[in-house]
Order: sequence, then C-alpha cells, then structure tokens
Amino acid sequence: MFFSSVVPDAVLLKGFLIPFTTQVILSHYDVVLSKTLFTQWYLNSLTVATLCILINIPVSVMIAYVATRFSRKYMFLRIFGPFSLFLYMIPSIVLALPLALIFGYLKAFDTLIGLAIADSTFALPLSLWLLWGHFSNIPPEIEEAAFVDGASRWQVLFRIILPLSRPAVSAVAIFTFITVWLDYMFALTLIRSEVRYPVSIGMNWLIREYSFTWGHLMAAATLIAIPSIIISVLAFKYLLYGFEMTLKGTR
Amino acid sequence: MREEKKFVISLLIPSLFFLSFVEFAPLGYAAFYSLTDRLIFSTEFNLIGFENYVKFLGSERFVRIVLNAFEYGLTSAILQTLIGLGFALLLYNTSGKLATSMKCVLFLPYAIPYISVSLLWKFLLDPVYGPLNKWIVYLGLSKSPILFFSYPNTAMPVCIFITTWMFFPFAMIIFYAALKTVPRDLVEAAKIDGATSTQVFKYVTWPWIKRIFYITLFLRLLFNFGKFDLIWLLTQGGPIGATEIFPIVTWLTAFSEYRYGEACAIAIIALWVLIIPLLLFIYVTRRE
Repeated sequence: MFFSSVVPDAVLLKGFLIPFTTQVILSHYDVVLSKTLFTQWYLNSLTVATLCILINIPVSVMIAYVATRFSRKYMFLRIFGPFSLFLYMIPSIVLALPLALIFGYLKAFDTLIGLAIADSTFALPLSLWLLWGHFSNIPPEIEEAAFVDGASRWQVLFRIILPLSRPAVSAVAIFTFITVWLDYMFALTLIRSEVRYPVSIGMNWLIREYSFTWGHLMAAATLIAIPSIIISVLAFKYLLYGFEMTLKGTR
Repeated sequence: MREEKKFVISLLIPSLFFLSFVEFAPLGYAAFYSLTDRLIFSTEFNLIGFENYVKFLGSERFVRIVLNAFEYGLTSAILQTLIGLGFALLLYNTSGKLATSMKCVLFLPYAIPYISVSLLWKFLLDPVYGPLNKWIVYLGLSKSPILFFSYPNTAMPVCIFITTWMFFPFAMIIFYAALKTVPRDLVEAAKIDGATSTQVFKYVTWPWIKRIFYITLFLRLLFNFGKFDLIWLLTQGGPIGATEIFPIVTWLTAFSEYRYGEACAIAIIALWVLIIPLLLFIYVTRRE
C-alpha cells in the first residue's frame, strides 16, 4: 500500500512483479493533502475518537464496577454477563437507522458529537466485558482495608480502584480509538456535510467525485492507516495486559 | 448502608440512562417502525402490522441471505479463530525481540481502517494494475486477469478471505493472553514427565483455554453477522446478490429504496436469526 503510493502512475500501470523501483515520488501525498479537505477530515476523525473515549470510559467503568462489586447484594446485577453479550450481538445497522431519526429530533444529526455517541455503541460491549473481568480480579480485601481506615466509597473508587486499573482502562481507550477510527458505517449514516466528514467517508468522496488514480487513493489510504497503526504498536502491551487480566477473571 | 445505596444509584443512573439512549431506545424505535410503512423522508406513516415481516420472510431473497450470512459468518469465524490460535501458539513458543516485533506485525491488519483495507485489496486484485493478477498471468495460471469481485463464485470467497485476514489478530491476541494465563508449573511438570509438545497442548493447554476458544469463536460469529463496512466497501452486496448479508440488505432497503419501515423489519429479523446461534452456544457451553 505504502509502496504504490510513492510510485509514479506510469510505473504502476506497467505493473510490477516484484515490488521494487528506483523512482520515488511524493506528489500523490501532496495532491491528497492540498487539493482536498483531507486535513479537515483528519481532524474530525481525531475529535470523534477522543470524544468517544471520553464517553465510553466513564460509562463502562461505572457499570462494570457496580456490577462486579454489588452483584452479591443486588440480584439483578447478575444478568450483567449475558447482558454484555447481548449488546455485542445487536448489529450496528439496527442501531444506525433509528439513531439517525432520534438525532434528527435532537438536532444532533450531522454533528461530530452525535457520531461519537453512536460510535461508542461499537466499543461499549467489549469495554464492559474487559473492565468487568478486570474489576472482579481486584481482591475485595484491598477495599475493605480502606474502609476500615475510614475511606468513603467514592474515595476508594478514585484513589484505589482507578489507579489500580490503569492498564485495563488504557486497554479500553486503545480499543475504543481503534474501533472508532475503523468505523465507516455510522459515519456514512449520520454525517451529511462535507466539512464534517471523518476520513473514512472523505475517502469515499474522493473515489466518487474525482477521477483519482490508484496512487492518490493509496496515498490517502496510507495516511488514514498511520494513526491506528502507531497507536496499536505503541500500546500493544497494554491491550495484551488488559485482555490477560480479564481472562484471568472470567475463568 | 445508606451511603452505599446512594453510591450505587449515582453510578448506575447516568450510565444506564446513556445505555438505554444508545441501545434500547433505538431497538424500540426499530421494533415500532418495523410495523409501519414509513418511507425515510416522510413523517407520515400507517400501522400495517406484520406485513413487512411476511413480505421479507416469504421472499426468495430471504433464504439466499440466510445462506450467505451463515456461509460468510461461520466460515470466516472458524478460519479467524483457528488461524488466530495457530499464531498465538507460535508467538507463545518464541521469545525475545523476534516475538515482540512479530506481535506488532501480526496485529497490523486489525489496526488498518476498513476503507484502507478495501482499497488495498481492491488494488492488489485489480485486473489492470493489481500485482496479484500480473503474477497469475505471468505464471500461466490463467490466460487473462481474473475479475475477482465480478463473479458470483469468486466474490464470496474473496470477501471471506479478506475478513479473515483483517480480523484474525483479534482472535490471536485473545488466545495469546489466554495462553499466558496457563500456569507455567503445570506445563513444566508435564514436560518433566516426558510429554511431547503436542501432548502438552492436548492435555494441559487445550483444556485450560477451551472455554475461551468457544467464546471467541462465538464472538467472531456474532461480529461477522452484523458487520456492514467491509462487504459494503468491497462489493456492495453484488455481483447479483452473491455477497448480500443482512446489514447490506437493511441499508439498501432504507437508503436506496427509501422503505424505512421494511428496513427496520429486516433488521429485527436479522436479530432473531442471530438468536439461534446464541442458544446453540449456550447449549454447548452448559454441557461442558
């Protein structure tokens, strides 16, 4: 992908059996970045991903924490396991159609915050599951010790549980970022105006509106792939650790 | 006690409110509009009962889509989990710098956005520009370039292949994490007793990760079932409906035929078709 983005079109058309050439150009990148709204779309995508992380983490922490700590006392919290599976089962398209209507009423249609809210449904089930496994892995004795010392529930949550869960929460954040960055469907349904396109839809627009060559498309595709690749390489450790903790809990 | 109750309530209420806003309200909406003949751009509609359901369930399209959905969902889910397990075992048994870089490289396909994946593969398989077709012609496997996305019998396998390629890392990372939870001393003890590595896998590792294996397989199945993006970007359900699955049909009905009510009905039917594998899954896991 990267290779074909830096090669002149003529070389590409002639075809290559072995990916090697001495002619390297950057004009494809230049065209994509200067002739289109690409940078704007890029920023949009980053905004949506950040918003989505900010929504997703508090919600999943709240639910998962309560569901693990109080399931012995309140029976209804036990449905939590099958419940997160059920959430995972709902195809996103089922949510996308009504959300488009609901956002229409709320004037959130065609806004980035609306897209972020919709996108969070992708990541929620898995973040719930991850955090649930993680929290049930933290021994309750730690909390009880804090209560004996006179700490309140809130203090325990913010001073003890959250610092302990840093790896799991980072895993959730990374996972959310990747899923949002990958998303295409919600953006296609919920965003109409060009300035608010995230990159994925922007690409689609490039294909439709311009007679773009493979070189341009590959340049854009490479640019889109860069952030999620960098993040996943840097954060792979946390993701793995988060899964490991969770699986320990669910066994 | 009172403090505790307050704590639970103040945590649960905002989060459950959000959940019901993004998950349950839409479901309710979809269920309601599936009983109407609403068109997407009009606000007027009539209640028409289960007509939408009857119409879709009775059509030939329905049978074809169920078959497609299971072919696509099941095949790629099985391939993803098996390949993921294979690579996870490979990673588990290598160590040092090599393993770290291998992990990152193997994880890459999952981190590439759908749009890039679809463009990349469309380029690789392109009849004029694509290197793969150049190789095929060069090696004499076929006289002319193969139009992978234009024939009904190649489109589906290609879609399954690309889905597998993109999502096996997810299975891989879960299995790798699962393998790391297998107690080292169990493996060591088995080795000291003279077990070969196949025996270690069969009698120690596999029983330990079996449950996670089934859960992952099932999660992948659910995921493939509801996935819209990849197939839409690759084929849009074509050629002549060979790669149509539920989300694609729902989208087409809603946004190119504008029949919103019918689209909701199809979406709800898709949900029910998913419940069958769910029950199967619960049955299998309960038995074990």
